[in-house]
Amino acid sequence: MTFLAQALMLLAGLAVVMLTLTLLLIGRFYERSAGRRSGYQLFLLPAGLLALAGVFAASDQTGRAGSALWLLGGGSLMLLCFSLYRQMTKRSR
Amino acid sequence: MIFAEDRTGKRSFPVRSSECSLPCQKRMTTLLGMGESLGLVGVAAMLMILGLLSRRLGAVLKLPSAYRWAYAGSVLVSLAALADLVRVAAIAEESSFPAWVTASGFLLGFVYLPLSMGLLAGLVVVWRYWRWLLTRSDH
Repeated sequence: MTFLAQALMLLAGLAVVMLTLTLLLIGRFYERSAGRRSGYQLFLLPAGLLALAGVFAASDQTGRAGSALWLLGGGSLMLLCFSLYRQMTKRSR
Repeated sequence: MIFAEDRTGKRSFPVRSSECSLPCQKRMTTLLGMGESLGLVGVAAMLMILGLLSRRLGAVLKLPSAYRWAYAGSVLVSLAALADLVRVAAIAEESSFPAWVTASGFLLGFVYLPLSMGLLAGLVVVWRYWRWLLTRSDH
């Protein structure tokens, strides 16, 4: 049971990182094609934090460091996603 | 600086504030556990945004509406966040919740499994709508 939980958590961390990097690529494509700043480089921060959180959660189930990393990574990811979506759907004047 | 008295109660000596008592440690663990649930809410929001962007791209390119998988993934991850919050509350207030909420089976079945399935749904949407970004040459 513990092995399965750890494997699922590690895979979840990997999937979150892949999805975050996809958003980074979407932001980069938008910046290059529309010529407006999207701040796509900032997506590296939640990607790194969530990758570490996945590793921590898989290695130590009760670790506080893993919880703090999930909080920081998830919070920053949410802010960046909303910011990117608003930027991309904003009508140009 | 916090001071503590020795056994005789006469002499006081400084104690590092990071040395937390047991209830304080439990409170901190509970707060961080709730923070973990909030982090999962952030992941659910990411899937929702990914679904919205995929819907716009699909409308332009006339792709089949597979973006709904991202919405379903977002709902699954939100459910995992809620279950995680309930588990953290149950660990903090053991008397108010049934024992099975704190069991490892609950964590696996109601948190890790929906989280993994939701993220898998997000990866399917990424593959169907955005895989051209991976192979696209910018130069």
